[in-house]
Amino acid sequence: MIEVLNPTAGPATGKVVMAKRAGTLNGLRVGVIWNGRPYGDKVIKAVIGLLRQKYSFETVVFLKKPFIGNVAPASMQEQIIDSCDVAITGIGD
Amino acid sequence: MIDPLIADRISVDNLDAAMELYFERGWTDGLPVVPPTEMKVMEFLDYTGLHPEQPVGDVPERDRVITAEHLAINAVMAGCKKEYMPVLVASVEAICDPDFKFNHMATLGSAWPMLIVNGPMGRDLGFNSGMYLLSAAGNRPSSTVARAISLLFWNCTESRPDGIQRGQFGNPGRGHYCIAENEETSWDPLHVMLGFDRDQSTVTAVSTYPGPYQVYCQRTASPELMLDSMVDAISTYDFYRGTYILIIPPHFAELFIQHGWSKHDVRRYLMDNCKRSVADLKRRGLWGLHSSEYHGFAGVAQEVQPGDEDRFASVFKHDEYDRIMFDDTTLLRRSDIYVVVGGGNAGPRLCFLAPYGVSTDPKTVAIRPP
Repeated sequence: MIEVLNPTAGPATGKVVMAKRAGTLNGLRVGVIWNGRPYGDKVIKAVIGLLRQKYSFETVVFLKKPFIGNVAPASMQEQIIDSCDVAITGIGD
Repeated sequence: MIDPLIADRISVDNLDAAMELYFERGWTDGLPVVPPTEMKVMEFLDYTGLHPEQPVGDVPERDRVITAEHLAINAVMAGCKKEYMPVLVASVEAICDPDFKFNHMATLGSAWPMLIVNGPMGRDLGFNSGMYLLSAAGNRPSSTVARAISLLFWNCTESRPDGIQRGQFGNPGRGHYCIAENEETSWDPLHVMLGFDRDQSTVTAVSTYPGPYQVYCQRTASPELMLDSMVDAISTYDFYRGTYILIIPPHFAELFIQHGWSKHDVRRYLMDNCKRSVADLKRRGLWGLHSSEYHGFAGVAQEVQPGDEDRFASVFKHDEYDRIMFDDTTLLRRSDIYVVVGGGNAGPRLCFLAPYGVSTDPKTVAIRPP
């Protein structure tokens, strides 16, 4: 018999808690974080256009991440948290 | 005395069964591995004096911390010797550095780091700096260190096609790109140019797009003639901006030296002359492809206009066309050429590797001896 070792680092340990759903966008302040990929802004604006057909809301900020491959900077996240009720973002290439 | 390891242990009947286990669990790169036993892994950790749980690299994008134990296990699997551990530790530190921005390796373009070893350790451990440089064929330190890094990220951060990597064609350098620089010419080696002492051993991780590009440079009457083929090759490639790797074989390095050219002179000539006309960029479909401008590619006119043949955009240098040719993240990154002496000492070719310039910069880390 031989005993060998598992080479993996195991599952991610952090807990991700889903944000509370607003249920509606009516009357809310919406923030957008675009990941910076070409055409990503157009996709998000198209999504906003579709949402405006159903809801009445204000787009407060439209932000672009400085680095595609990293999470949005803390200052950007704070700006969204301080000035918006919900945020729209997306991943893609 | 180093504490016991915390990795799960799996009992198998024999060596064959052990090798099959790693295939079945998806823990290999498609090739058989050396089954990592506790005794073997402890040898690697004892050699470095690292505690098994000592963090070596933090990968917040994957919510993981890579430990010395993870690295040692994958290094054993790759067939490394324990003496390579200091190089491996420095390699992981470089790749996990925030400047390198690990997450870009998931890109559709299949970026993967080239590891360049400089200083005494590169030479003393026998990393390849000569013939067949970029495939590491037959060279144990280069082959196994490159493979260990590949296996480590395969197993510990899901950096594989059924995980986070979405590369269209993959990168043939994965599992192979680990070289030493030939430091026997009078040129300063890369790490000295980057500010390290010559006697300090270092590892530099540079993100590269797939495919080294060999370029015929058969006109050797002057340094300019030697480099003009390379100017053409870089200018007509995909117009990436970032840190290129230019590999100059030792016999070419001696020719440049005889003409009184330093690595800085080579670098400056390429940076000054690598450019392409606006007309060519439009015909090639590169004009505005990665534009920083708000409307992106669709907002930039693609038709060749009068005068476009005589207007040129630079691959390396900032000019009036920066925000048309490159996005914001690329413009924030370094635009550079790392000149590295290496490869076989016969043959009429130089070689470059194009960068993944968006969001990543190279990182050089000092190797700490055991």
